[in-house]
Amino acid sequence: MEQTLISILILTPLVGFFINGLRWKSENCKLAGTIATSAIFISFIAAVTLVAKLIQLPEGERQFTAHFFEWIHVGSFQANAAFLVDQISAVMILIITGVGALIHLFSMGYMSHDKRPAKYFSYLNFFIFNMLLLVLGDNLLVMFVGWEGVGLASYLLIGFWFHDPAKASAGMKAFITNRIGDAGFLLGIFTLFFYFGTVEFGELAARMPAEAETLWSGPITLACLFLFIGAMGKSAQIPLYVWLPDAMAGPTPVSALIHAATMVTAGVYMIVRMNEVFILAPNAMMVIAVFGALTAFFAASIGMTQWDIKKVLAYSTVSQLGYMFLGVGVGAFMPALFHLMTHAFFKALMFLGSGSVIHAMHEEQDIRKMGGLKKYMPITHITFLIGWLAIIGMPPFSGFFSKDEILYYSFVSPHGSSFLWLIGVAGAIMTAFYMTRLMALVFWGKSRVPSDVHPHESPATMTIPLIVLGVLSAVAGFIGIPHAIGDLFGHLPNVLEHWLDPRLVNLDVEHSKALEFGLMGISVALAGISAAFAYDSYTKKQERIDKFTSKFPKLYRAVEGKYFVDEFYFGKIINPLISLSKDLWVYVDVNFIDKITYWISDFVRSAADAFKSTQNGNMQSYAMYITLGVVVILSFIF
Amino acid sequence: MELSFGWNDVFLVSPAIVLFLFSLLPVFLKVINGNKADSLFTSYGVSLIGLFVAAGFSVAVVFRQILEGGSQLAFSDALVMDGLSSFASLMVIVISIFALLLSRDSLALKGELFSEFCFLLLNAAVGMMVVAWSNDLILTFIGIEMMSLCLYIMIAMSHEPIFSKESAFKYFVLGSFASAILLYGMAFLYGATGSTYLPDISEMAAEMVLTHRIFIIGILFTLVGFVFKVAIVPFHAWTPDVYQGSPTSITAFMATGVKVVVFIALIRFMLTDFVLTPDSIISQVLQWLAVITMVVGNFVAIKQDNLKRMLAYSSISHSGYILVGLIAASLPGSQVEGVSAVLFYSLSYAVMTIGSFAVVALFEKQHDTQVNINDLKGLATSNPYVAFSLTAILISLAGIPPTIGFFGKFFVFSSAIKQGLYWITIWGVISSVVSVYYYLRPVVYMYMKEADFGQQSMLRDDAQSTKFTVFFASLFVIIAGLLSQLFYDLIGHSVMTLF
Repeated sequence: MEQTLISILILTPLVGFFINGLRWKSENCKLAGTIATSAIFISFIAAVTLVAKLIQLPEGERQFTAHFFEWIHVGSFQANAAFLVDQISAVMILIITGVGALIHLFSMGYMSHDKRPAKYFSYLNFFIFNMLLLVLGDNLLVMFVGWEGVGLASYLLIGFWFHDPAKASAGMKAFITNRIGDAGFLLGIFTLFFYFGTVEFGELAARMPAEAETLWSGPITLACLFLFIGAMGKSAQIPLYVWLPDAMAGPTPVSALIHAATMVTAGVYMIVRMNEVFILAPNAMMVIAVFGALTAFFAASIGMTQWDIKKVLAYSTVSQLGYMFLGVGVGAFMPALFHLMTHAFFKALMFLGSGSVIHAMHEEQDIRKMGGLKKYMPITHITFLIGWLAIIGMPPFSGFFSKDEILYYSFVSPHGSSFLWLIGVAGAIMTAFYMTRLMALVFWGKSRVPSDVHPHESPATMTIPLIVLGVLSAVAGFIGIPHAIGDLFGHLPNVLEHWLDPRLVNLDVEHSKALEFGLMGISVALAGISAAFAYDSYTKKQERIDKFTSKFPKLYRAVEGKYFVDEFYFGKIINPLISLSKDLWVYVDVNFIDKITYWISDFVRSAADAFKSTQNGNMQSYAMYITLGVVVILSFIF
Repeated sequence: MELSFGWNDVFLVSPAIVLFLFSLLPVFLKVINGNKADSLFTSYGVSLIGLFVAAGFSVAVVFRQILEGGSQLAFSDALVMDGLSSFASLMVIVISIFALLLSRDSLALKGELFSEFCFLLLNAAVGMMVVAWSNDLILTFIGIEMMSLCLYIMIAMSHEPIFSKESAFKYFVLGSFASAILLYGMAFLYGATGSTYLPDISEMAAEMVLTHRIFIIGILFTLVGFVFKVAIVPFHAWTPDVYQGSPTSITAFMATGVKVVVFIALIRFMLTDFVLTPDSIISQVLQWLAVITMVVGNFVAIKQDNLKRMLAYSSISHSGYILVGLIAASLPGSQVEGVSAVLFYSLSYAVMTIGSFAVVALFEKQHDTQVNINDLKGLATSNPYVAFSLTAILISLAGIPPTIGFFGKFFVFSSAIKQGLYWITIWGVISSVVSVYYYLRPVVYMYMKEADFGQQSMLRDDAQSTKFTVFFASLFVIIAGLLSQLFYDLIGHSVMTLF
């Protein structure tokens, strides 16, 4: 039964992919969308049924494994096509299929004017299939197949409008950057297999030593750092985050599904999935936490200066992913997964909202040309408002619970420090600033919409997902209420923590309610002040911002130019590499190897000419060849 | 000598008898009809039915062999019915079916005289069967002449006025020349051993090959006579001219049918144990022939722009590969593997060759069209399925996995390596690297070059059975490639009956 359900869960998107893939030339958006959406919806029902069955099991046995076939068995190396549904992957499959179904539905409206909807939907289904492989695989190799598969789907979808060279190259940038991370991921798998002889998650956890590893060069630390390089690529962390903002070239629902809600969180999921391993490498954990915090901080600062609505959201995603890595880095696996979930809701919501806005503005993405959209698009505005409140961490919206959990743990965890907390709070302040700036410039204030554009509310296929995600963004936080608040209202349980508890390593933390409330208060208050300041500045006193930026022109230009990281990569890494390749091509290939091959092929050609000249069409000659042949053969004897 | 035979003998050769009887029908029906142009059914349909009936009898004979075990002799031991014979009968019948399918569409053969053509086709098939079944050199010779005479006439029957007549004549004269050499060799063998019966020769061969120079001359002359038919260099010169001039369906028929049965006759001949070591004179001669054939065939093919000529040289080089397997099979040791490799290669070669000539036939919009590589330009956009099928077949011909052509080469070369024949294997691999060039050139033309301005859609759209042949062949090279072990085991079972 469970096996069947898991098959349905995984294979329905694949079937959808094949159906739409075979009729990829079809221009019927409604039909293609219905096929794809219902495939994901069936998958979602299977996921819900599975989770319902999981809940009915006793707490210690909540796990289904489905072993399909032996995939690779070479010597001592064994990998099965096997899938694991447990508390962690249960959360993920619900997000993937649930949010996925909503975004498919949204796409039906968004892509209605496109020429290749069937192709688009087949890619989307292909993505969901691979994402499910990624989260359900019971060993690193199946996970890697999904890992690569989502990368491919992401590449195809970013470059979906590949007739525009900028979009095509954005797809390539994403793919290549991800490949760098994937190399690290593979090295991590190799390291783990080399030292522990297995790639299966359960076996790995069982074979881990009891003591934590303090050496920097120990196998676990090494493996964890390699795996984190993989996560950097996929989850857009410093220094491999550069592809994600460019990935906004893809259709907006894709940005919502792949580049906000699901794929980019794969790195976080991988670390949570292997928390028993990572917890044993405190050095690696420290690296992860520091990179996470820095990413959260710097991405947020870039977000404050961008003018493209999707770019703001993209940097916001990078920044929020930074928080998740900060969470796993300090050992707060449950808050990280919690934030992954809430972020999936509110960021998907905001991306879809931005899609709705872009759709209404006729493909305009510059927020300087918007403003005052509140009255034209009430549903989009209200839902976006909820997303805004969630992301800046206003209680009781979902983002508040998850982000404050992470910040709290970054302070109190044995792996954390007040320094990390400080960077996190600074990031949160900036988050409140740039999100409020976005709200103010898009929805509030005076309209700066060009006179030839007439914004309108989007159709129902687009607004229904917005509403559902809006509700989720508002209330999803209640499944993970921190104990401090829960006790305040009379023992409200932390459902999510309780659910995940058997799977996650517990931290030795001495909880102090006063401290928790204190930290919470500080971050909420600072975020609130920052939001109010931004509201005031961008709706009423624009000159205040201008004055401020003109005071620090260099700093402003550096931030607006995204710290010139892309330029640095091109100048110091990519261009030298290209010129080296060109030199190798000219001096080694063209002038040396090619010459040898040309020499050989010239020889073959001239030999062929010589042979060919004997074929002169003259029958007497042919008879002579036969005679000569016989004579030569007979000469062997005598 | 008293000639007597029973129903058992008749049953064992029933496929040939059936084919012969059915071959008379088209001609009779035409005469009864008052010599009017025949309808589709009278010639084409009757012949097809005849071939299927013969196939049924062949299968029955196979079952008989399985039930009674091993090989059986018929007609005073002159014919032997073993696994090899059954393989040959089925191959010949299938090849004839496809030749008939292609001929039906062929504009060079359509119209008057088609019933006579069917008569000749079926009798050529009968001749081929006799070649493969024969246990006696005289009978082998008769079989070879029977199929060759039919082929000469069939080629000359083409409506194309110049090339076909030239090739029929060239083939006839040179074929007669080679037949003379073959007969001469047989005479020497009879003189040395006092018999033309293969088991008799086999008893004496191992000893005589060391002592008797006349015997060796006989063997070598006979071999030359045989390898002329399979186009081994330097006895190949007729091949490109004849293959190009013949109607494409007949080219496919003789490039496959003749070669398969002559190679089977060669297997029977070589298994008479006259090759003892790889260093013996006879083996040395054959090894040199194989190497020269592979090199010349593949090298000259890269210079050909006419598709049929290119395929002719390709077929020469494939004979070289098969000869490599045959040399391995003739040496004591792993003979079963060698023979299986040769048969597997013949099977793969037959399918690929029929498929590739069928693609050529698709281009022949007139009875005298010459198909050039430039005609392939842009085929991938105008006819993607045909382009893909041709690509699959060419990839198989080049021996790239997972197609059947790769496994054919693999089995042949690995049986040669097992016998220590490294140097011919190395030449085989080198020349097949060269062959990749001319096999992939059409692919480049189909997929990477635009059709010339104003060029019409190049393919015939009325040739349904030709199209069927193309798709069948391309599917077969891929599917049988994936199931190659299954086919190889089946062939191995039939080869076991030889020993």
